[in-house]
Amino acid sequence: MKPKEQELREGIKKCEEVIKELEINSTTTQTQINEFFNKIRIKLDEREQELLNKLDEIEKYKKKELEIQKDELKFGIESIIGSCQMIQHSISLSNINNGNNININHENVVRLLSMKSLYESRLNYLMNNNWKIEPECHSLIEFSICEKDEQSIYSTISNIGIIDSNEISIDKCIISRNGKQRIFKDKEFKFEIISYSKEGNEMRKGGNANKFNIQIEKELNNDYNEENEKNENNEKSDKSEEIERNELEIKDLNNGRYEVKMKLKNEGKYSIFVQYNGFDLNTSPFQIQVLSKLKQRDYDEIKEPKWTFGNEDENNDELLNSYGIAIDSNRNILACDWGKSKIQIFDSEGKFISSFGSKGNGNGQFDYPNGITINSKGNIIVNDYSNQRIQIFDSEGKFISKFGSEGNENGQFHNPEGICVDKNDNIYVCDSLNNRIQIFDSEGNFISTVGSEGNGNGQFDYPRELRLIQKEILLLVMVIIIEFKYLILKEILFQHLEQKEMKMVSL
Amino acid sequence: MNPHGICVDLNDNIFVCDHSNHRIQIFGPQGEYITQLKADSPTDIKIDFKTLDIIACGEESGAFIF
Repeated sequence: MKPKEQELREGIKKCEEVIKELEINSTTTQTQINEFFNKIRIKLDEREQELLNKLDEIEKYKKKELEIQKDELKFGIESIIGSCQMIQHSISLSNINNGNNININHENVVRLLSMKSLYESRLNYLMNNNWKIEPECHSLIEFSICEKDEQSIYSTISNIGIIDSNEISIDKCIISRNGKQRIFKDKEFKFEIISYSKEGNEMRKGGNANKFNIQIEKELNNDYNEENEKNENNEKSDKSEEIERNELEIKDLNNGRYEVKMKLKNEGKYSIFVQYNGFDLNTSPFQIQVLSKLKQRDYDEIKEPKWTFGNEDENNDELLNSYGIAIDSNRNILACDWGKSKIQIFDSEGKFISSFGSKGNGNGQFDYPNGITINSKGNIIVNDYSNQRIQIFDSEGKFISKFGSEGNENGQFHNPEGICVDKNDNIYVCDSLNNRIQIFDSEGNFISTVGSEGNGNGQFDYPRELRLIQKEILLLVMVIIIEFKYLILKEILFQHLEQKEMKMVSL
Repeated sequence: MNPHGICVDLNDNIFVCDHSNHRIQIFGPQGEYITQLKADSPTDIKIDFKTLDIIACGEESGAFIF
């Protein structure tokens, strides 16, 4: 018990040390905040003073202008009064009031007459001078700031600085990776962990690399279907042994991000668990598909077909005129022969095995079948073009069910052409003359429809063929052929059927 | 001209049956031309992902395995 007690005591000591450091850091941070805001305050005061000075300057200047104007007007008034007094005085000098008789002082009259023109010009000037009656300056003086600036200042102020605990939050951390990247065995695969604090801020400092832990788990269930076959895993090795052989490295990028590099030794599906202090991040685990890099072919080197078949003799039952082929789990080739209205089956080298179906509109009969696909259960789904329906058969070619009729309602067709299934066995049909893609469940119950006639986004002009070429959660990629050109519709969200990107290549 | 069947390989390269030009055109994932294979009026194409064989059928002339 003693050593344990010692251990716990050390724990307490460690906690106390951290508390002490925390107090010191908190004080330092407080000083930093005070200093920073004092700087801002000084800046604000400076600007305030600058504006007040400007205000004062303008007030003084306006006042001065107005005072000058006032002085001019005062001078005018004095001039008018002065002139009037002078004239009156002159007149009074020339008229000597002597009792009831007015005697005229002739000497003064002569002087008055000689002054007349002078008085007249002076009076004229005072009467007609353009006196500035209206104040030359107005009283307005204002402080203004545009509304946008004001808002942005407030928002800047309220976003100044961040106080952060620097404690990583497992709920907020983000795993950043290129979801479209293909991962090959023995090739490096990288992703980044972007660390976020509990306060929701992206962290700028590293130092937590050793607290992250990556676990790689191989998924062993392998559901088979035609499209999945390309990712099929043949090797099943011991799990623990395999993990040891996989290379893994977590690198602290010292900017709050951590780079994870790994090399996986085997192909197949893996779950990658990203943990911090033993707890999974919010987006952990994620799944990756590791592919064999050997599955590459140089298409330039292909000159001639290895085998041709179904073209020997016109009268031969094995003759093939086909608008659709599929490959089943035994690697047999199933082709729908539109001439004979039947499905012909060949082995992987083109040797005729068997056929089923005949011309007609009964169950298991066809009229111009031109599309075929196989779902994960091995059921054969045939596009019965001129009968305006889809027929479903078991892997032996025995009729199971059919759906569809001619028309443009949901679940009806107008010349169905291309057909394919997704990993849930939902059936996608190019309803060519209705200019739409119809989606059904594996039993042929209508789910939804995509598209309308036209050339705009999400519109089709005679859709003829489609494939789902990438299957992520809710993410489908379709390639749709239309007459004379083909469109690549990428990233159609299955749930919303919202088209993200469209590219056209002319043929 | 008059394209029919399409398929994609492991790397999302796109194979198109260019029916009236009697060829199968191969494009990269972004639609860039890679190469072409001669085939008589091809209508549909599939890849056998085990062997990487390319299997195409024709309107009038049987089928081809490349």
